[in-house]
Amino acid sequence: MIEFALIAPILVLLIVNILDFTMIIWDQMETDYSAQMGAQAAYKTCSTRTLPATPNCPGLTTTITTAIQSTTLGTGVSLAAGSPSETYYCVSGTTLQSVGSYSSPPSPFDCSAAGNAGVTPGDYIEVDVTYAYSPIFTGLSLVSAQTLTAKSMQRL
Amino acid sequence: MRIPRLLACESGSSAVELGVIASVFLSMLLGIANFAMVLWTLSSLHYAAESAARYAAICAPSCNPAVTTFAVSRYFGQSLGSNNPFSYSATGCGQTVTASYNYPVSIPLIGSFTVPLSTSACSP
Repeated sequence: MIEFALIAPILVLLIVNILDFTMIIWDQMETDYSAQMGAQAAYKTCSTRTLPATPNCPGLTTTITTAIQSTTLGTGVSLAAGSPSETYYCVSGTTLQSVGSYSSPPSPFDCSAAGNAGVTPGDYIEVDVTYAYSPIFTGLSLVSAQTLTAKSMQRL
Repeated sequence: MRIPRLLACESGSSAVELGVIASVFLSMLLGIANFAMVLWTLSSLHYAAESAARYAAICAPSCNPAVTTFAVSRYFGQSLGSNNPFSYSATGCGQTVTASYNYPVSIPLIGSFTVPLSTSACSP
């Protein structure tokens, strides 16, 4: 009996930590998902006819905000400062290379900066989201309150 | 003369202690197992809702099979019986699928009750 009394606090601490770790992993997954949905919403709303989307697609930020707040985390998810951002990228080898933002596009409008002048740069929108996580058992668990972030990119 | 001797005897005390602790420990253990099954059901519902929302985003407004039927086919948890816990609407960020399910729990000697589970997913 005394052994159980000695072990019980450790057992409870273990369970409490498992709960909080599970919750932070779950919240991170939902934050990732909301960023993906935000980028998907941008893609669906802003067709290729209205590029670049930031000046030409009315309601871009509203659409993305609605989408990122549609997960079970709800309005706890918000757009990071400076997001959404729109950037031109070119394929350079096996990676993407930035060749300018929508406000300062490359001139001439091609991929010569990435060594391929015959190709038009791709217009990518980046959605960054943040979510303020706080543990259920503050002080008992090793997980501390922190801001979860997620990023998603989508070619428009 | 026998009773005081029996009361003074300490052999077998750990067996008695085990008897006292076992009920607490076993109920904790079974509680964890039950709780895990509730969470499993919830995460399965959530996965199915996400899949169905994505499906609706591609096939709306004329989906065959229907979005809620598709959602049930993407649910891999315990049997839901004949209920379809999913509902679908073209609202929110685009296509929203929600699931509400009363998870039945029955514990011997304590009784039966339900745990309300709900989740939702949206896809543009």
